Parts: sequence; C-alpha cells; structure tokens
Amino acid sequence: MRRARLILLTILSIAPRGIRAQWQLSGDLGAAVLTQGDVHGAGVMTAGVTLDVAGDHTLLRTSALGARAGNGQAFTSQWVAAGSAITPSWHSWSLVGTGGVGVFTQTSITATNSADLLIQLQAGTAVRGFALGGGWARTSHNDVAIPSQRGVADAWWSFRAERFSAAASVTRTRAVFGESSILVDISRTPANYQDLSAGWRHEGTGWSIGASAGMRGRNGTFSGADGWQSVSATLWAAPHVGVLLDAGRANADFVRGIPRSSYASVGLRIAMRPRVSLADRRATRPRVQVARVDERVRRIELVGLEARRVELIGDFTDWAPVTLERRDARWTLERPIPPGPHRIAIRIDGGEWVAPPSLPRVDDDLAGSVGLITIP
Amino acid sequence: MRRALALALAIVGAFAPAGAARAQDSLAYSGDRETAVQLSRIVDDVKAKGLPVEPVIAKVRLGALYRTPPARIVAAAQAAAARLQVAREALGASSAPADIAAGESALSVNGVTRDMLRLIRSAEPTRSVAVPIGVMAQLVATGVKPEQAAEIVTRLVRARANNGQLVALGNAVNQDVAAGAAVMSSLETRLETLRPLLARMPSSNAADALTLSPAPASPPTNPKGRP
Repeated sequence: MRRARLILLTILSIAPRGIRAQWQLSGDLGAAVLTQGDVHGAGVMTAGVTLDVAGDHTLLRTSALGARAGNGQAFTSQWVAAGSAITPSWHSWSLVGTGGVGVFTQTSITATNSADLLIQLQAGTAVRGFALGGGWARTSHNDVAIPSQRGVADAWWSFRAERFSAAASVTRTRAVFGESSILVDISRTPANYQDLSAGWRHEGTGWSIGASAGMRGRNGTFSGADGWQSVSATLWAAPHVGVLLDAGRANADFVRGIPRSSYASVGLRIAMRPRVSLADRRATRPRVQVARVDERVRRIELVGLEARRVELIGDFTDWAPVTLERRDARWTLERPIPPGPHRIAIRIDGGEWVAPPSLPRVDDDLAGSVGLITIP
Repeated sequence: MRRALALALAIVGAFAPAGAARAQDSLAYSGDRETAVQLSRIVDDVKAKGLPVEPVIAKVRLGALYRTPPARIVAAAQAAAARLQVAREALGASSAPADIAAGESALSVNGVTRDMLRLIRSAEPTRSVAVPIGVMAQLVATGVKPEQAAEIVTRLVRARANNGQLVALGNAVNQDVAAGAAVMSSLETRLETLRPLLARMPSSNAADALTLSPAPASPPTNPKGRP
C-alpha cells in the first residue's frame, strides 16, 4: 500500500500543473445487494472516491472503492491508478498509450496487485472512431506473478445525446478464478479468453442512463454462463450532487484479480466541480446574450443577474458608463453595434468594473481584463 | 494641470465619434502635459498611416476611466497602434477599417498571430472578416488552441458559414466551458452541428478535415466500475 500511496501522491502533485487541465474529484456513498468475493447479500455499504485529471492529450484517473458487508465481517476493496496519453492527430490517426496499476483486497485473502500497459492505434474523433491495439499485464497474487497478453479492438459512435460502443478482446493468461479469488492454473497451460461487449448511453439534461452487455469465451467456446449485463442511471439533483442506480453482473477481471460479481446498488455522488451536460444549454451563471433589434441596432442582455443597478462600458459606448434597463430578470441595452469583436465590462451596484460572467476574458493592456463578445 | 487635462480631453474629443459627448463628460484623465503630447503623437501617427484611430482612442478612454497611470496608458496606446499596423499588413492594405480594428483586437489575445489573420483573409479575400476574426479570438480566449481555432474558422468561412453560425459556435463553446465542460469535448459536439454545412463543400473531405484530437481511451477498469 505504501507504493500505492506514493503513486497517488505523484499523480496529485503533477497533474494539476498541466496547462488547461480539467479535473474532477467525486465521492460516492451507497447501499447495495452484492456478491463479490467474501461479500454476499444485502445491506452492503459501499464507498468510493475518484479523481480525474484531463489535459489536452492526457487523462489520469485514480479511484478507490470499497464494499463492506452488513454484518461488518467481510469486505472487498480496490484501488486503481491509470493514465492515458494520446499523440496529436495525424490524418485522423493517433497513438494511444494506457497504463495502470491496481490493488484488490478482500477479507481473508492476500491482496492481488497488478500492472498493465496497452498501446492502441486510434482513428476518428471523440464522436466516432475505432482503435486497435495490444498490451501486456502482470498480476501478482500470493507471491506468484501471472503474466498475460491481450489484443483489443474498440469502436464508438455518438449521435446527438446517444453514445454507442463495442469492444472485442482476446486475453492470453494462465490465471483462472476459483469461487472468490484469482488462482494460477497449475498446468501452466495458458488459455485464450475472448470477450465481446456492446454498450449504449443516453445523456439527458440532468440525467443519464446506459446499458451494456457482453459475453466471454474460453479457447473459442462460448457458454451462456459467461455473459454479463449492466444497467445504470444517474440523476443529478444539483450540479454537485447525483443519485446513482446500478445493477448487473460482471465477469472476473483477470488483470486486476477481481472475481465475478453481481450487484444492485443505490448511491449518492458528491462532485467537487459541477456536472455539465452538453445537452444542457442552461447556463449555471449569469450570461450575456445579444438580440437583433433591426439592421443596425443590437440589444445586449445580461440574464440571471441579481442586482439593484448594472452599468456597462464598451467600445460601442465609447467607454462611457451606461446604466442598463431592467426588464423582468434581464438587464438590457440597445445600441447600434457594428458586426465584429467588441470588448465590454460591467459594474454591479457601484462595485468594481469586471468582465461580464460567462464571457471569455482578455487583457485590456491596462493591467485589467474585459469580456470579449462577437456581434454577428 | 488644467491645461494638461484640457489637452487630453481635446485629444480624445477630436477623434471621438459623433454623439460621444457623454463619454467626455465622464472622463477623468489625470495625466501630465508630457503624457498628453505623447498620446497626441501616437494618434496623429496612426491617423497619418491611414489606420483607424478608434482602438487607440479606446485605450485612452478606458485608461482615463480606470485612472490608470499615464505611462501605462501611453504603453497601451502604443501597443494598439503597433497591432493596427500588423493587422493591416496581414489583412491587406485595402481592408476596411472595421476589419483592421477587429484584427487589432484579436492580436491582443494571447496566442493569436498575424499568420492566423492571413489565413482567415485567404478564405474571404473580398468581404469583411471582422466577425470570423472575432470568433477566432473568442475561441482562443475560451481555451481553444490558437492554430486550431484559426483553422476551424477558416474552413467554416470557406464553407460559406454565415456570421450567425460562426458566432453561435463561439458562444456555444464559451458557454459550455464557462459551465465546466472540457474545451475539446465542447468543440467536438458543437462542430458536429456544422458538419452538414461542411459536407456541401466541393472538396468532399472537408468535414473529415475538421477532426480534432480524439478522446483519450478509458483507463482499464472493472467493467461495471464499482465493487
């Protein structure tokens, strides 16, 4: 665990320095009916924390998840730190490298440690594309190291708020699973496991729902018993608070050493940064809008701003303060404004001049900043 | 001091558009005579070169409003004058004053270069490019990489996207990012709505050329992602 903590601290200390890095820290608390390793039955408490840091070409994720049986006698926990790096696109092609380390523990069995690396050649965009690649992994359990190799093919396609994905992989390993723990096949004969899966997710305004399913074959033979399915839904009651519903079955993870499990859970997610859906066009902060009045005149509107008095300056007011007129929940100003970029600032209730919220800020050459708006 | 103030006001007033009397009333410029003379020279020089003086005047007005130290106002006016020159060189000597002013404004955004202005002008050699330049600057200020923003706007201009479509793209990306979305995710999604427009371009692969960096692959986790 010392090694795990060291890696986590390294990620935390390095990641936020990335230029324009986006991050999210969230915590989950929930209750579940769970069968996984030593944990069986209802009344299982689950808890987890996840940190995501994304740069222009990198993504780092570390998460720790735990489940404790209702009687307090059994638990499972897992910790994963993984990172992806993608090269700049060349004619829509990119190279993606993904690496990770993980630890899985449960009540009566020694921890399973893992490390893996996957290299993929990717074509397309975030909207649609596919990736092909292969990787290596090393899983350690009871002082026995289990190497494995795998080949992976992924494809994804988004249409409006729908996202579809499919994956196929072949994993060659000597690992097998007992009732609740990873084992090594003493025959030392590697087996090939084939996994096929497909998934769908819909992103609504303030909610999302998804389903996925897959099947696994061993040395080319598929049986119904090795299928898995999952459904999940998230309802964002507030920008920082979501309710999670999950149910399904999951196959054993040979690399991480996580045994087969089935679950139905309800949880509460608290996120440090507000959840944003691209489907949600409602601004979370006051915003500036421009409406066309006639050929020359435009109406600048500040929406959702609570104030007694709002003034505006801009190049089209010759930088002279103009008091905006209040119309319901909008502060408005009508002026002839030529098409093109314009710079504005506002003053609320006689305070400081500031760039309006929601507009990109640019340097005003005078040690301050103003908002940049483009008039069509 | 009174003379200095009067001179400063005269400088601003001389180049102020009609109907800007209200602006003069609220000016509180407190620079000395030497500063006023310096500003006067900068404005005269800009005017002599046939460049629009409004961006320079704007710096003086804003500096006066903010009670900025005179030296900084002079520096800001000089910087604006220099950018106007660069903008005209990039956009062409026959460019309209509004285009040159838009170019000056864009060049003040960190990362925007004269080559980006040239690129946009190459897509629209005759008509005004004030709006495309403004949208490019807006995207850069929002967090889009400058080269990428210039390329996207240029391709959209070549595809005959109208000003409304361009501004809608810039506003949507800005709104998404202000609400917390990643720049790349927003750009991917918002550009998707413009693909039908790009598909009408004579070069059939124009839409594909607008591809951005794909999303990073998901880290390998337990399929259900929870214990």
